[in-house]
Order: sequence, then C-alpha cells, then structure tokens
Amino acid sequence: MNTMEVKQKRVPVAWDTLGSLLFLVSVVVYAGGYRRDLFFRLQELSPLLPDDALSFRNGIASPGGLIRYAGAFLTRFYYYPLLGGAVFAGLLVWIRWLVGTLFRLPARVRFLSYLPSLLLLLSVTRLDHVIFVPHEENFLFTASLGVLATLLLVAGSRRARGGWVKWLYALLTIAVGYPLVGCYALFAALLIGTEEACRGGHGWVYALGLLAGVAAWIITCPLLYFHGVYAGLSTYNIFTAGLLSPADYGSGRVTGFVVPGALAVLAGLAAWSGFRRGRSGLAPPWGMEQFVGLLALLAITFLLSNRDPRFQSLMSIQRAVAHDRWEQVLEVARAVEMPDRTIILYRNVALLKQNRLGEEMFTFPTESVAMPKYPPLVYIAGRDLLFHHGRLNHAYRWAMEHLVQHGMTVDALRYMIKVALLNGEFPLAQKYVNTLERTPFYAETARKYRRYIAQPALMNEEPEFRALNALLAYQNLLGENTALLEPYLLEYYKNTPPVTFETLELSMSAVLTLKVKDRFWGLFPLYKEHGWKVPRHVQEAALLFAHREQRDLSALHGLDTITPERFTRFLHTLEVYRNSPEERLLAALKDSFGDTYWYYYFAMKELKTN
Amino acid sequence: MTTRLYLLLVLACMTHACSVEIPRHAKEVTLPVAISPDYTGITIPYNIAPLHFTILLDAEEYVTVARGTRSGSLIVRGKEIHFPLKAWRALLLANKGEAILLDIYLKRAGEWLKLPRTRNRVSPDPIDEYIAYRLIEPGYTYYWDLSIRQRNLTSFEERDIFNNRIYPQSDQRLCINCHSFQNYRTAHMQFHGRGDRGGTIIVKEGRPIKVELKAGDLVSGGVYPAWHPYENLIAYSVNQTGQVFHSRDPRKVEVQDLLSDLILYDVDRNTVAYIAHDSCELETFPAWSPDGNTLYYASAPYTPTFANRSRDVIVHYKEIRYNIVRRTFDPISRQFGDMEVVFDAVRLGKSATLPRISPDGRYLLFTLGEFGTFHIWHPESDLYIVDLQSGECRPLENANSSHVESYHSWSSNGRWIIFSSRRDDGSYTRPYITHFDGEGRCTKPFILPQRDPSLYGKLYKSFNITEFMVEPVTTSPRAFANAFKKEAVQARMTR
Repeated sequence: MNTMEVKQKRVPVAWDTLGSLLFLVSVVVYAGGYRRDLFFRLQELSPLLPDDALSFRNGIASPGGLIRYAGAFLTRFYYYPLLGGAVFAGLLVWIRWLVGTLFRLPARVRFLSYLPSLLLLLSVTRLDHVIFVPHEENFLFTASLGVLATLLLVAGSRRARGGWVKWLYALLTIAVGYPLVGCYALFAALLIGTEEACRGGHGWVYALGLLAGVAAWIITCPLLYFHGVYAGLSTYNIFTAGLLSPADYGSGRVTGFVVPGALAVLAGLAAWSGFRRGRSGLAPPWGMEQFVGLLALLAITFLLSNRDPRFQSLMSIQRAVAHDRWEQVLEVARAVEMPDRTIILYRNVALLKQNRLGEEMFTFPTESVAMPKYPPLVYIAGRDLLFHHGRLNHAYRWAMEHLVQHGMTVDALRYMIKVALLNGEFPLAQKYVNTLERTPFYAETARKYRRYIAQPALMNEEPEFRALNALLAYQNLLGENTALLEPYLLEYYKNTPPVTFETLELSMSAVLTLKVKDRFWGLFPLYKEHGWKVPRHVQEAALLFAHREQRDLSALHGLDTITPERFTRFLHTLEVYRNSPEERLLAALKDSFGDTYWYYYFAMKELKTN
Repeated sequence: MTTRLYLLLVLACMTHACSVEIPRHAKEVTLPVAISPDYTGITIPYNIAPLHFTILLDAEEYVTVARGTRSGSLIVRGKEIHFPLKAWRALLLANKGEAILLDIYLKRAGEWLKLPRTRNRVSPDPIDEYIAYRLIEPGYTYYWDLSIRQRNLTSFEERDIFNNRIYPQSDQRLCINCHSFQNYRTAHMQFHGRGDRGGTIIVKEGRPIKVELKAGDLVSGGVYPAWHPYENLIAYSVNQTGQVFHSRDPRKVEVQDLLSDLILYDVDRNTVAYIAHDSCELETFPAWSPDGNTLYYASAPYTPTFANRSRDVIVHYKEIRYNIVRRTFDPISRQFGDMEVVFDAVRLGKSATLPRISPDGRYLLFTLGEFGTFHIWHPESDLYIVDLQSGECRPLENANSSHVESYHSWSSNGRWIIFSSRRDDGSYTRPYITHFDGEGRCTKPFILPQRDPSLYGKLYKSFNITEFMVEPVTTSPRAFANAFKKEAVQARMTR
C-alpha cells in the first residue's frame, strides 16, 4: 500500500467526520450562541420540574409523562445557553447516529439521515411569539426525546431474536412504552412491526398477520389505558399523547407540523431503506457530494428558522432585563431600525431606570410596526413592564395568570418573589424562594432573596428595589384594566399627579407620546417648583407647544441654550418645506431633527398601541 | 401479587419501626417543638389518616415516638415522619377518647436531646370519610388546569371527580366550580362548567345530565348552590359577578356582585322559580337548615348611586355589606316565608356571608369581614358562630387566625368543621379541621394531613370549597365529560 492509496482512502472518511463535526458545531453555535437569547427565554418560560407529589403524579401519570419530565429537566441546562446548546446538539447527533445505523439508506443520499434531527431543530428555531402563548409542554426537548425513544425502541428490537420474541417485543413496546413516551411508542411499534413483516423468509400470511396484530394492539392498548387508567385523558389525545398539537403553536401553526413531519420523514427513511439495517462502518464512506448535501440541508434549516429581527431583539431585551442589565436593553433597542411597541416600552423603562427618559426617549427610533394581535402584549411583557413601573399588584396578577396557564416558571417566580418582598408578604416570598432554590442554577439568586426575608432592611441596598421606591408613592385604585397594557400605562401616567422626578418622567413621557398639550402645561411648572432640571425632550415640547399656541417663548423656564437655537433652525426648516409634499418635509425633518420630539410630533400620525 | 407485595412492605416498615430504639438517657430540653405542619396540642378524630410531619430543627439524627396514653406506640426515625397507615389506625383506635403523646428526640453533637412532650387528644367522634374540593390557583381571571377532587380522610387516597384536562384544547376547557351534594351523599350532586360546552351538571341517582338554568329574566344561570336535605330541590343564587384588582391594597382582588337573586330549581320538574328577587337587595350563598324547613342566605341592602352598576360597586365597594337572613320553607307547598334578619352585620359595620347550619340545627356558622361578599380576599375575615337558641354571637375562638378564614363545612355528625384558611402564607387557601364540642367551642385546628408533609409548601393551588361527604363520588370523570358534550336541557321558568 503506497502513500497515495492511503490518502485516497482517508479523504472520503474525512468528509463523513467533517459532516458530523459541521452538524455538531452548527447546532451548538446556532442554538447555544446565535439564538442563545431565545433558548434562554424558553428555559425561563418553560414549566419547572414538578415539585410536589401531586403535580408530579399529574405530569407523569399521563401518556408521555417520562419525556415531559425529562424534557423539563434538560431545559434547565439552557440557563447557560452554550451548555444547553451542547446538550441539545448531543441529542440531535445521537438521533442522527441512530437513524444512520438503524436504516441503510442508498449510498448517495446518506446525508438524509440528518433530516429528522434538522427538523427537530427547526421545530424550535421557528418559534416566535407563540412561546408566550399558554402551553404546558416543553418546546425544547420533548419532541427530540420522543424521537430518540422511538429510535432506541427500534434499536432494541434488533436485538430480539426469533419471530415470536419480536412480536412480544412490539407488544411490550406499546404496553410499557405508551405510558412513558406516549405516541412515540406506538410509532416505534409500527416501525418494528413493519420491519419484521418486510423481513424475508416468511410468507405473506405471516407478514400480514404480524402487521394486523401490531396494528390491532396499537389501537387497542391505548384504548385500554384510556378506559382503565387515564381517567382524565381526552379522546383527542389517545393516539397523540406526548405530541404537541399544532393548535398549541397558536399563530405559528405551520411550526406545529414540523415534529409530525420529522416522524413522517423517519418513516419515509425507514421505508426507503427497505427496513434493512444500516451498516455505517461498512457502508461506503461519504464523498464531497454528501457533505454538500448536508450543507444544503443546514442552510435550508437556518433559512426556514424564524429570522424576525424584532423577535430576536425582544428575546435579547428580555434576557437583559432578567439579569437587570438595562444598558444592554438600550444597546439592543438602538440597533432596531423599526421597533414594535414592546421594544419601545422596554426601552423607555431602561431609560427611566437611568433617569434619561425625558432626555433620550425620542433619540431612539420612534416609528414602529404592528405587533401580532395574539398573544397580547400583556402576555409578552406584562410582568416585566408593570413591575418596573412599580405597579406591583398588577405585575403579581400577570405573573399569576402566567402561572395558571403555563405552570410554574422561573419567569413567574421572579416577579412573585419580588412583589411579595416589596409588599412585605414574607411567608409568601419564602414559599416562592424555596421553589426557586430547588431550581437548578437559580440557587444563588434564591439565596439573595432569602436574605431579604430574614433582613428586610437589606432591600434598601438592592439597586433594583431602591430604584422602584420612587415609583411606589401612589394610592390604591380598584378596577384598573391592565389587559390592554400600553393604553393602561399611558392613561394612568397621563392622569396621575406625579410626586417624584421618576413619576414626572413617566407622566411627561405619556403626555408627549399622546401629544396632550393641556396636561403638558399642567405638569411643566413642576420642574421649577421642585428645582428639577428640565429634560431635553420636555424643553422641545415646551418650545413647540408654546410656539403653536403663540405663547411667549421667553417666559419658558429651565431651557438650555442649545435647544432654543435648534428650535429656531427647526422652524426655519418647516418654513422652507411649507409648500412641499409631506413626505419631503418629514424626510428633511428626520435628517436634521430625527432625534427630537419635534420629529415625533409631526411624523407620528396615529399611535397604534398594543 | 400486589397484595403480597403490599404486605411485605408493611412488614418491612413495621420491622423498621420496631428496630428503632428510643434513646436512653436523653437530656430533656426546652426547645420549642418545631414541626411542620403544626400537629401539636390538637384534637383529632380516631379515624383520621396519619399525621405526617417534618421536624424543622437541625440535628444529626431524629427519633420520634407516638405513644398512646392507653396503649401502643409507634417509633419512627428521621426528620420527615411517616407513620405506617395500619399501625397508625390501630394506635388511634386503641386510644379512642384518650391521647397520643409525641416525644421527639434529636441527636446533636453526639448527645440525645428530648423535646418537650406534646399531647394530641383522640376524639371518639369520627370524621366523615370523604371530602371534596376544587384545586385552583388563587383567584385571577384565567384558568387552565382545574380539578374537583375527592380525598379519603382515613387514608391518603385521592382522585379526580372531574378534571378539565380531559379537554386538550384551551378553547374547550371548562372552568369547573361550585360542587355541592345532597345531605353529604353523592348520588345527588351538582357542579358547574363555564365555557363553550358549559352548563350545570346535575347528578340524579348517579346519572349526570347537563342543564341550562338561565331561564326567563334571570341574571345568570345558577351559581352558588344548596341542595335541599331530602327533596330534589336546589336553591341557587343567580349572580352577575365581576372581578377587579387592587393596584396597591394587600387584598389584591375584589369579587363583587352587580346583581344577584335567589332561585329554586326543581330537579324532577326541571323548573326554576324566584325565591328572592328584590332590586334593592343582593342575595347570595343559600344554605338549608338540616330539617329543610328554613333557607338561610346572605343579603346586602344595595341601591346603586350611579346608573352604571359596574362603576358603582367599584366606587362603593367598601359600603356593600351583607346580613345573614332566612326564610321559612314549606316542602309540601314549596312556599317561602318572608325574609327575617338573623344576624345584622350591617348594623355593626360588618359583612357576613356563607351561612351554614350545624346538623343539630342549633348553630349558625358564617364568615364575617369588613365588607363585600368574597371574603377569601379579605385578611381580616374570621369565622363566627351564632347560637340560634340563645341568639348569642361570637367568633369561633381557637379556629381563627390573623389571616383569612372563610369557606366552611360541618361534618355530618356536627362534631368537625373543615374550613379554608390562608394562615400559612397569606395567599394559598388550605383546609383546616377543628373539633366542635356541640356547645359552641372548638379546638386548635390542624391542617388536612398529606402523605408528603411538605406538600402545602410546594403546591401552587388553593383548596376551594372543601365539603364533607359520607361516601365517594362514583360517577366517573368521563361520564361527566360525556354529559358536558351533550346539549344542555333548558330549565323552564315558573312563577
């Protein structure tokens, strides 16, 4: 054997290995890096592991309980997205390896063994605002664990020797597997039965008998469980238990068909292989075309993934809020050219936290695109925004509504603990802290809150709580409607007399956003009364409103030197473009005054709140 | 096979228990007996399930001895105390009318310490074998995973009466509520389901049918029910109810009636008729006297100031107060007498709701708060009792706490009261049981024992409408689901 021969043998083997590496790295980088914020948020929004015997029994004691439980456990690893990404990638690689070894695909299309794994990846990366829609299942791992269970059951059947042993195995797969992995066991039994029927050496009577027997058991066994064990199981779920229904994906129903699609592909691959066992070690090694095929599949997967920049920004913002990184919220918000109202609201809270709301809120992009009608904004951001506006009971309410519909999640717990602490409800806070402490990776956060229960005075040293103090000086009101979140916040702050600089910032922000001149003049003197600096946008509004109402501009107090000068230039621009089409005027204003309230005032014709 | 396995397990537990030795020469200390739940100094029925608990004190080892003052003892090792069911039952039975003494030993720094002995009285009065309750997150507007469950009080057996998980789609799930039984028996019972397939499920002779009770000019279908003790009649309140939220108040939620009346539903004839329909009164929470000759309920004099009632009840929410009133009832003619005030809470500046008459007919038990109808959100609410013979009214001492005490139910023998309390954490409602001596006194209450003593700390659901039953519900959840699938039978309005 000469050197050339060795090289010729090694190169194709390298394509195979390279393909595996490419897949592994792509998934880790994509799911643990590029889309880390989505996966982190999924972790926070996914139900925690059942923590009490009753919930555990409810969860595990329905078909598919094991994969739900295991999925909830694995989801916790996404607290560190790279770690979670590695676990997810490992699972998908395992699935791919099993597909490759269980089914002998034609040599030229062996790269298709990656298809089920890529579809499982796609079922997560396609997710959009549907993640805020009530659901009980775990989007991240349940389907992958189900497919893995299917393949392992098929792999197990390969070890069964003899026809009747295989029969028995298929029947046991259903009888034992159905309670644990739900419909995935039925699917596995179908594959096992079909494979055995297709195996040569038996007559067609045996094959048909086998298929009929397995099919009969696939139908009968779940019905027996339905009538004898699972009193609470719906008829709809008898044969789909463990599988997320397309309806669970709300507006993203197409995504709901990706997992069933993965199962269909798996069945297709099995059929294509003629139910012959794969022989990875002996099969011809990959050529470059196989590698290119995989590359194409990866590219298609990423192209079909959700690439909405606003959704990705929202994920980044919510992750930053979870870690109290408000500067990062502003960085993300500034990078979004055309935000939606959710991003604008988060951005305003971040500015408020740094006493920069009146100074900078219109320096960010102010035009916005419509949000999806469902889920409503209050589902998406109600807990965050109400809490950081100091509306504690309302934040608690929406955390509780979230808990009701999703089960207990970290996202709900966080606000339930904080509100209970700030309300002085320490036994309640203790209950929530105990749960958080038992949640993997959140023990340290829980211990921080536990200190406040023991020594409430320490809360005054916590910057997050300290920042809220200025927003908490308000009277109780009964019957406020917070379901329409932004209109509620705007109306509340527009109408409520401010008592601190921070509440004045919020009131002014609402008044400027809604362009309510009368209320503006009612609030404007408060800066002078309290000796507070008049923020830039408030100066801009004062000049604009005074000019439009032909008030004496020199009587305005608290103006700096730059803003009036700039206002003069602004008036000049208005004059220059007086007879021009509105688009030209707005374009000119955007160029020179796009960072001012003046531009917002003229450009924002109709505020569409969510 | 299962029985054999079970016996082996019991034997193993008992052997384990027997093999534990009581520490000798333990030093007696005066540390408080910190156990959770607090099962110290209480009176328990002789047929109650084992009182499992966790010792809250840190130690290297633990030994707990439960010793009957008449005979028998159980010795358990560990921080979390689980008593074997059969041995526990035998211990209680052997000490009926006596007491169980609890000795807890802790080993710290190699030395055994003995905590002060506690004493729990074993009442010879049995408790009804079953209770029913709804598990629901405390309040708020959305619902998802709701179940009405039944629990055997003499063991830990618990199962669904109905669970709305039986409907997989969110738009099909029902808000199930207000279960009620006729005279502690379950062959006749009812509960409601709200939602697209909603209606009232009436179980008659064990067969469920769905009924639509909203008929004529009623403001709603039946809401709060009360089965007549022996006739096939159900008194309902019909309520137009709203739920609103406080922005700052620790009460957090107000549930208010905008309109409410009382009706009588004749189960056999499928007809409804007004009992009370006064535009200046808000009538609610009906309850029959055990002889079936009187209907008690809560009624608030209310005339709105604003034309918009929703706004009016929000603005004046602290001024709406309920009295406990009653009307006589003739089961033959089915006629009601005039309204008579039994407890004038309004005069005291208070609000009284949820009247319940003791099985001997002598006592009226109710919840008293500052205002309003839904006291589960009012921390100041307590249980009060009126001796209907003497007219004396007083708080149900020993049972009340600084938090909410609200919904309550008498056992069929009148010696036990199960009531809801939020004393543990101020938010999640838990079922507490107290012994009633028949003379107006009750004992320190204890929380419903659970197999897992830490369950209450981990469970994010409230126990809602806990009701005693003398037998289990045998109608299956699927039979209820099938009844919900069918078209509702429309009740007819009569005069």
